[in-house]
Amino acid sequence: MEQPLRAVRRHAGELAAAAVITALLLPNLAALVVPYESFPYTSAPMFAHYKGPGTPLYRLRMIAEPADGRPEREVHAADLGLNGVSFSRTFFGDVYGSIDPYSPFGHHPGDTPRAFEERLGRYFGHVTAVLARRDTAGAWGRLAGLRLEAVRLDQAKRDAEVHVVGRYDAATRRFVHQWGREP
Amino acid sequence: MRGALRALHRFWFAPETPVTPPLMRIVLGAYVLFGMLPRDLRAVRQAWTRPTELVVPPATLDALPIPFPLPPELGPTFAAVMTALGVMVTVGLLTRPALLAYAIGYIYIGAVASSWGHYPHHKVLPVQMFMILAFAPGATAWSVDRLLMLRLRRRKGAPPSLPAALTGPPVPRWGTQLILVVIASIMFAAGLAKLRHTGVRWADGETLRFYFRGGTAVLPSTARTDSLPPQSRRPYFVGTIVGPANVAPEVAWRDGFGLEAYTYMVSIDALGRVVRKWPWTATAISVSTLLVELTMPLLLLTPWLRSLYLTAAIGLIVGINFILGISFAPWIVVFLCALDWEWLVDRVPVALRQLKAGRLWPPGRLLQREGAPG
Repeated sequence: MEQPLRAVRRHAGELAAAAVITALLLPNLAALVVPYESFPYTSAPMFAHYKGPGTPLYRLRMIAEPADGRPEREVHAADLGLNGVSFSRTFFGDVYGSIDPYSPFGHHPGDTPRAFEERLGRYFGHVTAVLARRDTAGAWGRLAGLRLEAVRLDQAKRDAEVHVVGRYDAATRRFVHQWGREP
Repeated sequence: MRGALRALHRFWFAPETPVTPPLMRIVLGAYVLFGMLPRDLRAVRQAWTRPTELVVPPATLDALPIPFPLPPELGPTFAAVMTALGVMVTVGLLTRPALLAYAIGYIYIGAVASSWGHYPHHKVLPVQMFMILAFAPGATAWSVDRLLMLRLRRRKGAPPSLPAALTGPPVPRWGTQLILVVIASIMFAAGLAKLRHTGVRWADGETLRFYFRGGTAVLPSTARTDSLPPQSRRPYFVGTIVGPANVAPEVAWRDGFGLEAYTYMVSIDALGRVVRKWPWTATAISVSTLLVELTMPLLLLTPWLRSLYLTAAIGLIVGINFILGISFAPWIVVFLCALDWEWLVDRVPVALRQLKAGRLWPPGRLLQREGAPG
């Protein structure tokens, strides 16, 4: 018993260094195994996707449906006080989710339509609250709901094909996933 | 087995004169203090005006003892503390606590930016370097702390010389090695990510060709921004997303398309416009990028490989800056500090003399084993 203790005491400095090395290195090595980004650790996914001539480009858009008969209007990041590209990224990564369940932009393993609906319901609840708070000029009025659409872009990056993903109902505060369901 | 353990022990704990850790602390400290901190503090202050309910803060923000978003009344205090810490890190005053606190402050700054959808990749290496330096042996060399210690020793008699006191005795080299391992790991991760998410076809250059054409964000036709100057239109931009063609319906259940990854914002510079004229350059740059990133861990093997790979990485970063307009200047500072300067100062002049004399290979003493007679 005394000998191992003496050995530990003799190498205490190196053992402490090994603990520090492990603690600082482990999150970097973990990012090699499971891609993730949590500052200051990253699996460095910049440009790590494929975009060939036949790879489609998409965008997600939110359409506000006013309750008072005003025309529908697209909600832009600026309407929420945010930067456009950053807003698109946080919404896609943290809320919407990639087809890759372990995408570095946000993990949604085992995602289901039900979990998707709950996530989007919560998020759109916040969006309607922020719109109402910022709408000092009454430009938006009362909203009946928000519609989420995925849009395929053409070669000139104009909206080409629209798929309605689902709709948030402001009265029930629920998001209903519509894509792939019978009307 | 015993031989491998001994080699591993030598890799981490062989003694060295501290050069890389103090050089990194001083040069990177000064660069961050003057080149990054003022802009970063402005960004933290702006976060107060944004609706926080629309972000999912990263776990690191919950763990840190700094509120998110930073209340306006705490802004000046945070700025003053970070500036003071930046100065203390650079000059080496209360060096280790200052490095640790500075790293924590910068983790907060980076996590705030990433929570708003802008993951600051350019800050990853500097922040991890400060974390390592807070513990690395020799990081306190060439510091005010050492000067104060020298004064104290002088009072007690038998003081060492000033250079010896500032440098200190040889230390275990695990700090320097950890700096190199982290650099190698992050660069390797970048190469691995490309292979993981796309396979070897990333090397065909199509993806970079897409970026060289620019315009990875779109301005929706419903955004009425005609009266705004171009820079003010940014909040109306929408980031585009790519997804493979023909995704199985059970995979594309959310929307029927199958959205996979968001694209990155680039700003094509003059060199980018030139490169765009020759399509083969995109393939050549893709192949060389993958090659450098995936073989980066080789820099851990010998001093000349360390210099070769760090120089290649600097070339890569400079290329990204001039072609795509994305600045990773802090990484260049890290790579420059991580070069084996002692070895370069010792070997390069002789190698240059040999090259001048017409003997092109081997280039002087560069390829000689360490410890071989010089």
